[in-house]
Amino acid sequence: MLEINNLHACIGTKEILKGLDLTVNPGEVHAIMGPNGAGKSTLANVLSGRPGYIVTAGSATFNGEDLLALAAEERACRGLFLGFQYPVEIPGVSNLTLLKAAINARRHHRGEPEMSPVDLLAWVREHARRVEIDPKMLSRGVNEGFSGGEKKRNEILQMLVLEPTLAILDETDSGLDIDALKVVAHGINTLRSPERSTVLVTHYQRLLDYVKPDFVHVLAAGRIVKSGGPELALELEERGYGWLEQAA
Amino acid sequence: MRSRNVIAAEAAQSWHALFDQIAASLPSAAVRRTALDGFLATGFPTKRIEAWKYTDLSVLAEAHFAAPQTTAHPALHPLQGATPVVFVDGVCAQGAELTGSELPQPLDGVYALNTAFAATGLKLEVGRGVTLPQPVHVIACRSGARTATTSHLCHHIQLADNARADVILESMGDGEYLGTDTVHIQLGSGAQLRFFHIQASAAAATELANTQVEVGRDAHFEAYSVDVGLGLARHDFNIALCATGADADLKALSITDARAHTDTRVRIQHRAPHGRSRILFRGIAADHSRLVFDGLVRVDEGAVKTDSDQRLATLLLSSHAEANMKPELEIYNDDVRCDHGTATGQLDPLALFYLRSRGVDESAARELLTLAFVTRVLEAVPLPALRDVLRERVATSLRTALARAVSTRQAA
Repeated sequence: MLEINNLHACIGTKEILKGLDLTVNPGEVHAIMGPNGAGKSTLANVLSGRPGYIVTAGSATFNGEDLLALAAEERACRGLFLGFQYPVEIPGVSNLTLLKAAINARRHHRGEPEMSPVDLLAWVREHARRVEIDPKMLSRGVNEGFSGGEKKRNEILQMLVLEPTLAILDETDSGLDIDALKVVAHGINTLRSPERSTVLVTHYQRLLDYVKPDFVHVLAAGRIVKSGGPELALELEERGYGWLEQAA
Repeated sequence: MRSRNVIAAEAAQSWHALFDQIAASLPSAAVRRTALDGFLATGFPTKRIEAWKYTDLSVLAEAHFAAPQTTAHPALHPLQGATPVVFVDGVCAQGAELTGSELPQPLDGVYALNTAFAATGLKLEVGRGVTLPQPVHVIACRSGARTATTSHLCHHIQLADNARADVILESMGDGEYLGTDTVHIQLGSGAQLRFFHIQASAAAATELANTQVEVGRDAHFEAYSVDVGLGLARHDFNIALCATGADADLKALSITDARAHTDTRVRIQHRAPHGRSRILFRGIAADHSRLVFDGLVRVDEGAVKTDSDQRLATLLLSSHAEANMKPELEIYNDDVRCDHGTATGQLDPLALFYLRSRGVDESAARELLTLAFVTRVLEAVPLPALRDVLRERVATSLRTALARAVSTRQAA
C-alpha cells in the first residue's frame, strides 16, 4: 500500500529526513516512535503533501502511484488521511460544511453522485456519537473553541467519516487524558480491517496499550534505525531512545 | 497632488444650468442656491483634506453632468414581505411620495450638492410605541446611459419614543453617474432602528452617502452596511449617542474587485454616560481595488461608563489590492472601557492546507475560507430573507473575485 524508499526531505536548507525506508501493507498498523526532532512529524507532513517541504531524493508510492507527484487534495481523494498534531481552528467554516465538502470531493473523484444531505447528516451524527462529540458542535466552526481533547476527537471523527485506506495519525494521543485516549483508540480500532492501514506517529507507548501495532519503528536522525514488534515499544518505554540514537 | 479641485468655470456654468433646470423651482430655493455656491467655491475634495485622504474626487472637477432622463429601469427585486419604495434617478417611482416640502438640513463639502439638488427621499415617521409590522425597502436606482448624470436623494427616518422599525436602503445603477444620498435619522428614547445599507454601484459610478444619526436615551441603532459595488463609493456615518444608555452597533462588510474603491468613514460620538458602541468591519480587496475604513470613537468628558469596541480586519486577494484601516479613539474622561484591534492579511496557509488534506481542492478551499472571513457580519443580519439574499450576493461577488485572482495568478 505505502512504499517509501530512501526518502530525503528538507525544510528550507535543513535536511530532516535522511534516507527513510518504510513499507506498509494492507491491514497493518505501524507505530513510528522516536525522540523529539527525529523527523516524525516531517514524515507525516511530507506524505500528506503539506507545502514547505522539499523532497530531495527517494520515492514514496501509494497503491503503486507516485504519491509525491500528487497535490494534497488528490492524495486525500485517493484514500490518505492525516490526523494533525495541532488541528487548525477555522472560524466561519462549520465542521459539517467541511465534512460535506470532503465527502463529496471523494465522491466526485470516484465518479459517484453527491451524498444526499439527509444521509450525510445521519452518517456524521452516528460517528460523532461514537467519539463522544455533541452533534451541536458540528454546526460550530471547525475546531473553533474546542479543547485539546475535543480537537483530537474531532480528527478521529473526520477519519471515521471519510474512511481512509491509509490513516497517518501524528501524535493524536498527545495531551489526552485516559478517557479521551480510550475514545480515540476505539475510533482507530473501529477502522481496522484487512484493506485499511494505519501509521501511528507517537512519543509514548501509552496509546499502543489500546491500539496493538503490528510493527514498531524507531525514527532517529531522519532514518528508521530499528524495527520490531509491539515488544519494542515496551523496551523503548524502559530504556529510552539514547542507546538507539548512539547507534544511529 | 492635484491642485485644480476648484470647479472649472465651464463646469460651474453647467452646474448652474442644472440647478436652474432641476432645483430652482423646489421649495427652499435660497438655501439650495447657497449650498450650491458653497460647493462651487470649495469644489470636490482632494486628498489634502484629511477626511478625504484616501478618496480623491478631484477628477470630477471638470466633468459635466446632465439631468437624468428618467424612464426605464432594470428589474428590481424588493425583499419579500417588505414595503417597497423605489427611486429612479432621484425621482420617486413606486411607493408613496414621501417628502416634498421638507427642508434639507444643510450639509457642507461635497454633500452640499445634496442640499442643493435633492428633491425627494424616504420620509418615515414612526409614532410613539409603534412597531412597523414589516421592513421598508428603499431601492435607489441610477443610470447614466448616454451621458454622465447626477441625482440626489435625501431621506428622513424618525422614530418616536419606543418605536421600532427596519429600513433597508439599497443603491444600484449602471453607466456613468454621480449620486449622493443623505440619511437623517433620529431615534427617541427607547427606540430601536435596524438599518441596512447595501451599495452595488456600477463600475463608472460615484456614489456618496452620508448617514447622520442621533440616538436618544436607551435607544438602539443597529446598522449593517454591505458594499459590493464596482465603482467609487464613499459612506460617511456620523452617529451621536446623545443621551444616557444610547447604543450603536455597526457591522460593515466591503468586497472590492476590479478597480472598485470603497471608503467607509464612521464617526461615533459618545456625548452621554453609559453609552455603548460596537464597530465590526470585514473587508476583502481583490485585483486592483482599494478599500478604506476609518473609524473614530470619541468619548466626551461627561460620557462616563462608556463601553466601546472596534474590530477591523481585511483580507487582500491580490498584491495590487490596497486596504487602509484606521481605527481611532479620542477619550476625554477616565471612566470608560474602550478597545480596538486591526488586522490585514491573506488567507491562513495552514487552514488552506487543512481543508486540502481533507480532499477539498484548492479553489474550493479558498472560496470556503474567504466566505468564512465575512461570516461574522453576514450571519449577524437579523432578517432571514435579507440574510439569504446577501449571502448569495456576497458569494457571487467573491466567486467572481476569486476566479479573477486565479486567472491573474496563472498569467503571472
